[in-house]
Amino acid sequence: MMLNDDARRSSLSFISTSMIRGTLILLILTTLFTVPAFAQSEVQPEYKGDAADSTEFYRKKYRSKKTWEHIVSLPATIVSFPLVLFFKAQEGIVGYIYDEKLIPRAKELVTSADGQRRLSPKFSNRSGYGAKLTQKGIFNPESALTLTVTGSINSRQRYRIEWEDIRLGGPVYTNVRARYRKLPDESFFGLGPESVRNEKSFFTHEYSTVEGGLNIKASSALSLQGIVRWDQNNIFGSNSESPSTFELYNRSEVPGLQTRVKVIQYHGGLMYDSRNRRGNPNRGYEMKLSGTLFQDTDDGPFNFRKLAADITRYIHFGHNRVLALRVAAETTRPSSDGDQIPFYFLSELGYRDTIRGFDRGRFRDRDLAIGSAEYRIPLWHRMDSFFFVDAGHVANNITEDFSTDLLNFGYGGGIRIWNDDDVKAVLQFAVSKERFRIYFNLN
Amino acid sequence: MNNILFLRRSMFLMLSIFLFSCGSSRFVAPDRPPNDQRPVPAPESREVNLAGDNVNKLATMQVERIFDLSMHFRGMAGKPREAFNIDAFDEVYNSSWFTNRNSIQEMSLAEITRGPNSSDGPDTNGEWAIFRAKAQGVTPGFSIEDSRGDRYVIKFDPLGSPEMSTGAEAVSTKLFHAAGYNVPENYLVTFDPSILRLGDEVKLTDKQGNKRFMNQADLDDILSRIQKLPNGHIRVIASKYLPGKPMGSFRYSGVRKDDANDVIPHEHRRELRGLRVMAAWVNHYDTKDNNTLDVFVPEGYMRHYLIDFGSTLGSQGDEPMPPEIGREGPGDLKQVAKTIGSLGAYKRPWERKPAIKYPAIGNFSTEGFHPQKYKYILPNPAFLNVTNADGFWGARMVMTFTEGQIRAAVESGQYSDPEAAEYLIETLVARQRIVGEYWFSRVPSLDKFNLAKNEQGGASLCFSDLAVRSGLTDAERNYQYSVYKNGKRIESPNTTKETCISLASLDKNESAQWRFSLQSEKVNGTGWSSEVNVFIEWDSENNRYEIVGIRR
Repeated sequence: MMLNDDARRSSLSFISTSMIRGTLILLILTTLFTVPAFAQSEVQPEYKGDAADSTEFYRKKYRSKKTWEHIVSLPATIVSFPLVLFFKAQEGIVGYIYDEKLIPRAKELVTSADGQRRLSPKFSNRSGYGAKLTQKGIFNPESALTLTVTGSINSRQRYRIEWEDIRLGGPVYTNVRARYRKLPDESFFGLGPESVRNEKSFFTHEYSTVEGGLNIKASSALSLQGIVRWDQNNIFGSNSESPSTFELYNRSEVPGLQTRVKVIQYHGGLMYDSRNRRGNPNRGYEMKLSGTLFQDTDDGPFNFRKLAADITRYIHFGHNRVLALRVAAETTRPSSDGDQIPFYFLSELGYRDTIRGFDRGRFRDRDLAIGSAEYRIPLWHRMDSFFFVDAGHVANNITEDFSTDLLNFGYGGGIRIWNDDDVKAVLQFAVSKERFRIYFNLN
Repeated sequence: MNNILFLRRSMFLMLSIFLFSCGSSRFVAPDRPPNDQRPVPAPESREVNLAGDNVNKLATMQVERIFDLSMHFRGMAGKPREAFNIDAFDEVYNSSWFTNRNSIQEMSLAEITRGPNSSDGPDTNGEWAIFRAKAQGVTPGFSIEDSRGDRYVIKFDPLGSPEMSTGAEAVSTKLFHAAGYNVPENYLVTFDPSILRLGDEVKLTDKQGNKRFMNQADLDDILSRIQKLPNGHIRVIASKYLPGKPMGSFRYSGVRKDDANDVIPHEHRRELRGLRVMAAWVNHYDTKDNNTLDVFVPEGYMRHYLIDFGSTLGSQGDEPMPPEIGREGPGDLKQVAKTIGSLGAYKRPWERKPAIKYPAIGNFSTEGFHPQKYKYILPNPAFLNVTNADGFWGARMVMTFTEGQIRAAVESGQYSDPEAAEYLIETLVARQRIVGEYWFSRVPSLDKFNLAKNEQGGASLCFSDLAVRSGLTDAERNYQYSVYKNGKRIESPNTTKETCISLASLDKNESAQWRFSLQSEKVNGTGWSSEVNVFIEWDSENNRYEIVGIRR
């Protein structure tokens, strides 16, 4: 039988009143009958028996709680029983893991005897769950060979093999990398700063790359980088999400769609890093200036160049309160008239490296300008909280089209766990005019 | 509205019944707990599961306490569960846990300096044979057998902090021993590493957790990670193996079921509750079960030790004590909320840390120190049960250390920089003062009650004032007392500056019991402390009054 709202309220009110009164009457009666025995129960008779059973006698005498205390606590004991049971179970599980040394054993299993080889878990929103196998010290102590495999239930795949910091002599190092990734649910919202979120479509991006580079560490802060990279990009329809980008756009509107693009990149960069520590810097600069020339290896139209600048300054306000100010800009131009830029090589705004709180790839265009302020406050040992404001927009020509009216903002905060060398985990929340997002990164 | 009224009335009624029921006026001395040093069958050795224990202390125990109505009722009625192992005079019996020392009878400086030590430590002229080693973890170490056949655990100073960890261990050992706790014989010695000889088949757990036999390279690795003196010698703490069989840690709650002598729940042992005050004083934040040891001694019973004082004073063993230690726990949501809410403008007390003045001392100061708010590594069930009586007992343990005794204890740290040693003494004395100021503002600082003959030939109840003795206040201090006969007040509150109260108003009624209820002016001068009750009866056989009990 259905009760109307008033009847239901009245019924609940009746039950609630009865329950409260019943419980209190029970408590009063319990107190009346048990507590007067309290004064007496504090005084116990002297033990008269022999030594053999004295332990039991005294344990009863000195037990933590008297009978009246158990009775008085009974209602709360019943209420808390499931919670206590839950935590007892946790104690058992955690205790078992500790007793059986499951974590050290697992660590031992994935770490070589000399400590140079290690397997570690990895997670990020974009690439999903996975693992990273690192072998350090091949040729020179600082070199590291890394194999990373990540994936997710919606068929995202990412494989990476990198051999970094191989010392050739003096301050000259070389890096070799090969990567493959297949992201079946990438989003496309159209081109330009005024693209609309409702016009979201999906595509699959398959990407393979091989690169080799030189890195000259001119000083502890300054280094020069040169990379030659070959990569191949396939764009096809999304299996898991709809509508497909292919249904809404064609190749002439969106260069790079339905085309296998193979390019060779010539990349040069200048990096200046004066951060006082890598994991949680509280002073110094991090600057990167780079230029990349892309050439279509199939004599196709995809010849273009990209210039980028990214500067972050860490300002210390004392007691490890740190403001990280970042400005970055990027511009992409065809090498000559008639050349094109594949849409996935355009500057992209969204996701955590640009403006947090937007979908990844939310805005795409030739140019990009962003600014960010992140304020970090220490919470505990190697743990910070932070708040941030990100702003920026894309444009066909940022110097001509820049407008504060077009700026997109993202706000949020989070928690970072770090060590002296790196940030180990970040959990952050971001909100923009379009949506709320949670990001988590491990290793 | 009716429900709220009913709720209030019910709570009032229950509290009234409780208070009324608890109001037994005549003092009855508690029975003496059984002797816990009688021979019993040896219990099984056990190890405390550190991870399970963490969940227990941080979650299970907290839930159980929140829902423990009887504990809350007791709290509301001002009748918290007092310790079980106390005598009529609110003192602890000597036992396998504790021996009354400096609090009861002032120890000489020589006794303080000697501490638990029975010899001059390992023979540094002969060979040291290594028979066990630990390479993993941040603090490497090994066990040796000296030329006399005595066995020691060897502990080092971490690189960059000479004297810090060894000094802290030496000083704290002396202080805890003088307080009355069982502690190992810890010797501060300097040796030439050339006397080390790697024994055959010394097992070692390496950095990767693998068990294998130790080789010379492992020994060299250990020696490369520790602090050495300019002449290449090494300063260490040599902790002598305890006589008997180690049986694992004791817990701060419950009893050890297979130890027939263990009948009093540990959370209700006065010496473990009172340890809270002593531990806060010397910055001994790591008071978890694992830093204790049960040893089945040759006499056939279990003795209970506090061990490992390398993480006390300004040392955290492998580094100076982080400034937040003792001042804030990792889950202090209030502090986190304050920090985030103020966008970092709020600086937590430990963040306003002064730079470490003396590397040999580490991070030890009075900055932000509060004896009751001091945060330990884990919630400790015995510490959570501390009552005013336990607090007084613990505070007295701390306050009875004279500056000379503290100096003697610090001298056993053999600090090469006299200024560093002086700083440690000053800081200990200043923290001691803070302990006294806190506790003697809550509980009366009155101690050593006795009956003495007064000038008129009658008897007086006399006492000593710890706050005056330790220089917290001047001798001109006000006390207030009331006198009760069989629970009925016969004298209204009187105020006096004397430390003796005449018993002239008492008759020689054998069946009567008098209660002198005394209060002292709070050390901070903001009113009166809680009461200490002294129970007196007429002993017709010996024709004199007798103190039959003391309760705080």
